[in-house]
Amino acid sequence: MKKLLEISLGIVTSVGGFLEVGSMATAAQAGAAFRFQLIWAVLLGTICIIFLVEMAGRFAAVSHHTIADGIRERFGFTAFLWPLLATLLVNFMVMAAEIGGVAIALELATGIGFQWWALPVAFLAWLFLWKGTFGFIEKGVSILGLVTLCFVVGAVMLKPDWGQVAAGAVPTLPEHDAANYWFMAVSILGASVSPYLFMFYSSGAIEDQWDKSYLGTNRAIAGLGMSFGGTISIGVLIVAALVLAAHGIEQVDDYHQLPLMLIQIFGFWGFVLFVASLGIACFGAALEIGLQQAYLVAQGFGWTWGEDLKPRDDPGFSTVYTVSLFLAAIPIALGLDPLKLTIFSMALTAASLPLTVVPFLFLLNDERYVGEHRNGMIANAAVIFIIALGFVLAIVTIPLQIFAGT
Amino acid sequence: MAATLQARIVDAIAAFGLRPDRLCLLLTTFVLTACSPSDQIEQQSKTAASAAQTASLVLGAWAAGAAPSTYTSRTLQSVGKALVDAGAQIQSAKSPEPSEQAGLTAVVGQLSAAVTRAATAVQDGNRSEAEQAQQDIQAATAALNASYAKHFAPKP
Repeated sequence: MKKLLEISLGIVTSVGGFLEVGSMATAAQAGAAFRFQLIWAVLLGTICIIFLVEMAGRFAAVSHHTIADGIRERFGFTAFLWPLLATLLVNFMVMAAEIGGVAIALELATGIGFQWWALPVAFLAWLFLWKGTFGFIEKGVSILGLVTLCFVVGAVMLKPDWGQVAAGAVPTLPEHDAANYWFMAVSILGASVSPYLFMFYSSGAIEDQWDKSYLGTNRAIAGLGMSFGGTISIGVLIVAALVLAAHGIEQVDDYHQLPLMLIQIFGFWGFVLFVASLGIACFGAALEIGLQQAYLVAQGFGWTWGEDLKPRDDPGFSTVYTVSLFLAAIPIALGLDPLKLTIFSMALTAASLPLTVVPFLFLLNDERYVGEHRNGMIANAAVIFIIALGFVLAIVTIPLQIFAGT
Repeated sequence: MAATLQARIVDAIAAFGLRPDRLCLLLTTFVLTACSPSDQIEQQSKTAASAAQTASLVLGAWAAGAAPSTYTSRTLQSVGKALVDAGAQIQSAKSPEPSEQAGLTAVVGQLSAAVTRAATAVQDGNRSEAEQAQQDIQAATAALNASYAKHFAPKP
């Protein structure tokens, strides 16, 4: 019964924590520009993240190491430095985008420009991390994030042609704007297969003191939680296709366009639901990324770490999330467009994938860490596929970034 | 444009093989060569059309009491800026059909002016002026679509 409760809570946490500014913005842009045609990218990203999250959780439960710990110990600090720097940089940009997402939600709610909200949001996030516990951060904010299910409700209420939706699950070549189509596909993959998701998950498993008895729980949370989370992203895409594209809005390059998706379905409450979804989802993600930055550096340098410890007991860890949050708020406070930053950072996330995913192939096959629970053929094939996909994305991202003009 | 691009990619990949360095070089070449004035005008016309539809949709929601005034007004201001930018970019493109280009620029200018009027009307809570501005936006959007079709119609 206790395990069932933990699984349910884990799934709810994954669902509530799945949607953030990246997945929301990329799905909305894709739906507006290409209707259901890019659903396959969301599905592919979701399948990839299910595999990576399951492996990260299994590695932590069996070896009692986080992924970052494992990379440093197995390959040495010099080899660890590259994924560390790449992940820190990408996380920094994604965190800035998430702070921007909360700031936009506050601008929509109050009419005060988003720039003015960046530092207060960073301060509030810092306060949560400074005073809160891991359980509070992980479960409290994620459960509030269930408000994002309004996109799924909205998609069902719009009564889409489910045959066409299903057809979108099969990759097809675009009939127009090929560069933009592939750039959107890359950005969706970047938003779905974000390194902070699986790295945070492995640190969370250590914080929650998982052991081998959690392997089934881990599988259920990774599979069901991420699948339901992906469903919300598809919900956003469907709503964007049936509201924005149907009204002739094929380009979403201004965040003011986004609330119209729900306003058309729920009226004024749609506006409220959108503001709440964006604010809560992005705030939750900003907290998780702030923690993830601190986990990465602390684990990389062998410092004491843990969100459940008092800041005076892990000063390095607390300093990293403090500095990260305030630095990430600066670009938004200076007026950088959060939507443009989001799309750009999602594409770079996709490009950085090989650096963070290649170590999985070694760590999850090393008996010294995972013993009999090492990867099987399917899991290894999945990792090799993700690495290959990551290399292709790394090569095409920058030219597409310029060519698509986003 | 998309079909041409795909054909170019497929042909070139077949000719060069799939070596990543060559593929990257190829893509970079596309980046540097593919943005013609016509592409620029097409892209900016689409941006203007999306912006105009956004203005119509948000004004409709505001009139129905579904969108707050502050949000509506800010959205219209932002759309107005996007239209000014689009108009400037259409005007600066070196098109082989200057008269049609001028027609597109003028229509985008009308749209921008109507959206600015709508933003002011929403700010002032003036419903009749907002309704009038919305009608102007719809008329200008229809004119934009006509100009776009004329500019990109197949030439004999």
